[in-house]
Amino acid sequence: MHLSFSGAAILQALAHNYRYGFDIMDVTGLPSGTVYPALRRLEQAGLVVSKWEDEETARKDLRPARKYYELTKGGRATLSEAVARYRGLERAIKKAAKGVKPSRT
Amino acid sequence: MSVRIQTPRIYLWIIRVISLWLPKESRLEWRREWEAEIVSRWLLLSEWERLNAQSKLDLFKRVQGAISDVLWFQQSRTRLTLALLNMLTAIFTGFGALQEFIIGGIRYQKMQLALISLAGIFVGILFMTSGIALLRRWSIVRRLIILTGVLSILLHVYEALRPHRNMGFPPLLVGAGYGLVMLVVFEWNRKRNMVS
Repeated sequence: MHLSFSGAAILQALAHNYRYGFDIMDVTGLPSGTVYPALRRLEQAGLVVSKWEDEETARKDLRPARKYYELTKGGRATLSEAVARYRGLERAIKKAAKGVKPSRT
Repeated sequence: MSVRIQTPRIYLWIIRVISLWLPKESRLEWRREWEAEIVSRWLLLSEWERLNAQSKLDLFKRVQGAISDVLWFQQSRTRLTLALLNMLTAIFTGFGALQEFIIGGIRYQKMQLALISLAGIFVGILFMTSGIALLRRWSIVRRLIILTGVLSILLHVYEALRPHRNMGFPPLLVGAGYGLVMLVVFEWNRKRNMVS
């Protein structure tokens, strides 16, 4: 699956244990209108799975049970590929930028 | 002294209204997920004593994103509808063309009818294949849809033109019209795609 920047950012957030929709927004800075549809697509592609947290745990915290997302094995592999691609892109830009002065705005 | 207890009622009410756009089978779970997130965030802000105008506005912006989320479900629904319509069109086009081939091409041995009906059968097969491709999410789905749509339009317009006039206005409208609608809807749906 070809992963966009926002898709990679969401997978990265999940890899760092930010598992809830709103927490992913906090850490990635992406709006909810991007995060939720992306999560649905990633789940459909088998890169993430969603689960409902234990009702008992939520009750202890005096809040409703939330749905959380986890990376699958495929999701981890796709994330590694995406990270390698973006690192490669960064290197390529740095190499190409050598000797090129940024234009004045 | 009475303390006014604030609740995220307005946000929950917005979520409830937006959820009405969802397919019935996904509505309850979708609402539960959004409501749980909103209530949890509200409680957290309240606990941290950061429930102010700015944080409420931020929460409102997040709730607005629920519309895009709902549209994603609509997108899946559109895909399914397109797939089913393609299969239905495949049956009509294919059987119509087969009938034309047997009667006009084989029985009356009209070469033009035989060729055009063979093209119709091919377009029918293309409609069926692209319908399956939509459901199975094949990587070549876009190319298949474009090929099917363009061929369907060309075939039906050609068949309705003089001198042969193999078909009337209603089949032209269904064949060429649906071909065009399918192309437009598919492209529109594809542009809304956010993570591909």
